[in-house]
Amino acid sequence: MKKLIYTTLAATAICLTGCVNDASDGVSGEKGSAGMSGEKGGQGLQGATGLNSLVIQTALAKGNKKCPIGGTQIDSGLDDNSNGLLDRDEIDTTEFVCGPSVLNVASSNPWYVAGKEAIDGAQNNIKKVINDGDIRGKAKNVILFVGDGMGVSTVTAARILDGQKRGMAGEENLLSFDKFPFTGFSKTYNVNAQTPDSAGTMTALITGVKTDAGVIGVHEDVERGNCSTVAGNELVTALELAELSGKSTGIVSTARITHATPAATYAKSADRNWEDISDLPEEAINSGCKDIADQLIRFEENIEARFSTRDIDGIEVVMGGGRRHFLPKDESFNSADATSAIEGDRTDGRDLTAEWKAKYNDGDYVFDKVGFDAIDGDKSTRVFGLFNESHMRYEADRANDISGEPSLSEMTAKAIDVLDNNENGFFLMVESGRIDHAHHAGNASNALVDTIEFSKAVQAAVDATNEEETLIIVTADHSHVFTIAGYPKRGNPILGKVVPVGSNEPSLAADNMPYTTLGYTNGRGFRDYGAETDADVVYDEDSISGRVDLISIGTTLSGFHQETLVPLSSETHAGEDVGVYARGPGAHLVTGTNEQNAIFHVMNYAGDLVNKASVSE
Amino acid sequence: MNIVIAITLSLLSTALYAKCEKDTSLSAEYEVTNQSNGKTEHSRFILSRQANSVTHQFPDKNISEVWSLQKNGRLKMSRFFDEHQRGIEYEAAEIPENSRNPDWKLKHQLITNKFIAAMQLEKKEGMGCETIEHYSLMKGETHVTLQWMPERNLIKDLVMITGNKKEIWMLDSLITNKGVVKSKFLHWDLMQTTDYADVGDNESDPFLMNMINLGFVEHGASGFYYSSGDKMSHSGHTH
Repeated sequence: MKKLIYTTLAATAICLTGCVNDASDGVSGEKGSAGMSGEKGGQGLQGATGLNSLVIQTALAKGNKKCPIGGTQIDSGLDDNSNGLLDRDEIDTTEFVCGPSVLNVASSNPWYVAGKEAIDGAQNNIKKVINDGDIRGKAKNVILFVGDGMGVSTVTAARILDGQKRGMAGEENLLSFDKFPFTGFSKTYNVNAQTPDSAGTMTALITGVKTDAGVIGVHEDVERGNCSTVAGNELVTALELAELSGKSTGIVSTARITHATPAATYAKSADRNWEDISDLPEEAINSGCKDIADQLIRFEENIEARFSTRDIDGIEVVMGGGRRHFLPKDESFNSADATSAIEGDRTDGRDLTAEWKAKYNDGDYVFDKVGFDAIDGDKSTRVFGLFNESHMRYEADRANDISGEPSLSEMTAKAIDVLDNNENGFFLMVESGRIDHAHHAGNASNALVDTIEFSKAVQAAVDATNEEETLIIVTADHSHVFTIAGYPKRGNPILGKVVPVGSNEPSLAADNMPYTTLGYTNGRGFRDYGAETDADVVYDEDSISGRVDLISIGTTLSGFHQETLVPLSSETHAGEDVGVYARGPGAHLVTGTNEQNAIFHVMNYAGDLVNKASVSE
Repeated sequence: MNIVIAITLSLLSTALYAKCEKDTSLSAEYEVTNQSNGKTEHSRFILSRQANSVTHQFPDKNISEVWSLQKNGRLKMSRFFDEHQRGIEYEAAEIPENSRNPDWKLKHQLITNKFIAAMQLEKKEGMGCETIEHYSLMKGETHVTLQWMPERNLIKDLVMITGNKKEIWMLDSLITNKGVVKSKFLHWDLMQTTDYADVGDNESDPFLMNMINLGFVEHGASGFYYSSGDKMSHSGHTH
């Protein structure tokens, strides 16, 4: 077979070679002028000799960029300087005759070329990893992004929606973290639960130890809700290790800052719901357990008490919602942003925001967008932002906030601005907390818009940091029962009804009704609230399982809630693996399918957190 | 002498009026009767007000809904389940059936001013707080009669008849003692609440798990909607 191919190539070469040195005819001489009826004039002068046309053939070896399996390069042009050679500047055209490829059309297909380039890039990434050698401790900065409830289907749908909002078909789009060089899968189950919750999963992510659902920062030996079982089971978090090693630390979330995910970075609690003292049972208070908000404000002294020889400077950046857990249950403490008659929930009369300000009198406490914008990240040393009495707004609903809220990407950029003033580096955890809530409400639109904003926040971190010294990991704590289904054609609106390839009309199911691409396996089911941007408006009606005629329903509007199969009052988490995306020193350790707690160990290795925290003693 | 009487009457009138500031704290209990096809059902409904908060209480269902008006004009609601001493707090600023044009009056006084303005005033009696205006309206097949207490912004009596269906709201008792009303609100305020957004993350809580699996108790709709000026729906006590 190889011989036949070579023979064919040789014949082609002979044919082309036969054309070399063919001189062209000279131009005819100038015609003489007409004589006066006299004798016939003489012959005109002979024209100049024409230029030679030259062709050069060059054999191409296997692996050539243009001809991957080898072939011939054919350069042709006129011998302008008549030196008998086809000089480089005389080449008019270049053609390639490549050896027959098993790929035929594919080798020049843009999908093929892009795919090959991606693999070339991956190979280069591996080379860089090998060249870098042992990366232990090379990550000066570590940023952990957590999309709460951001399963793989959520990432895919958000990617498509983002692309479609920017005029693309959508499927080819990439979110910021889709472009990260290393990815893997994380097994999310809790020690006692097949389908997990955020408290157990975030504890695994941030401490390296899987634990039970519903508990914060404590080992599985704890009994949920039993304060007396906490002592001795407290785990150490990546944020605490960063503090102990002299780094700056920060927490950013669109949920209440006392909510499970952010709480797991700094608190130890037998119950995720012990957000302020009014949430604790009397027995827990009497046994000495502290509420989560209290633990945030007293973080510095709690760590110093736990590690008695240490002197840390506390968390530099805290931004999110949850003001209610820091204020007394007294109307006179209401902020201008209050949505309840009495904003605060604390029954111990303490104003934790005042306590924070007293402790850190050089810090900036803010509760609205104006205050946030006034913070100079380069000069500020400490920020405490509580922008809502409960969770912050959905991104799509942010404009409806009373006093204004910053976006997640704005908070991320500001946090890094403040944290990167420390030459020892920083640790930052950023959570998009409301992807989860929109899914629970069965509202894909808000979940996807918040995921897109999450992607922007990741990009803000990429833009603000140096890849050589900053490890960025993006993941989810768990998934949701959220599906992308049917056979919609390419570019079909991701929030729309399924329209098949070659058609402009929605596909009909066996019940003769159209259906949406996105849906939920369980939850409250169909709702149509038009342009409403608050996913939680679903509250006031009972769940509707099964099918609804969507023929005249605008399913792409923000207020549409997708259909469901199993009627539940709240859509649930799902148990499949979630994606992990990484860039920076140690990112290559994110590969394969791992237990969720392994992510802590990636951060720990790349930042050498345990050793640095120990050395600083 | 006449001048003295006039001044006295004027002061008396002012005093009466002063005691009856509109929208002040109160708690009004209604007996609600629904008649349809010869069948009669009775239920209770209590409307309580304090500052920018209003409670719709459905004693027969052990449900209370506390509504509040936010600075941006949007509505907020917490639903309390008296039997369980628990509440669900909804961040939703607007209710679904009224999401595009929330009317606080509908929650505050159960009837919109626009609806009253569309009715025919037939007579007015009493004075001060006890002033009662009698209205009627015939719209389509529905006949509505209303006894309205304008100084309290309160329904005294409302009857809606459509064909063989009849719904009657009668004010049964009225509490205007601020301390009593305050204690009612304090009762709900002290109950443990959970954000609706957090329900899905609390599957280990028996009360919330019950809700997740079995559904929320259907809401206790109240208020008489006036839509586009030509339609009124019976929305009270349909749960």
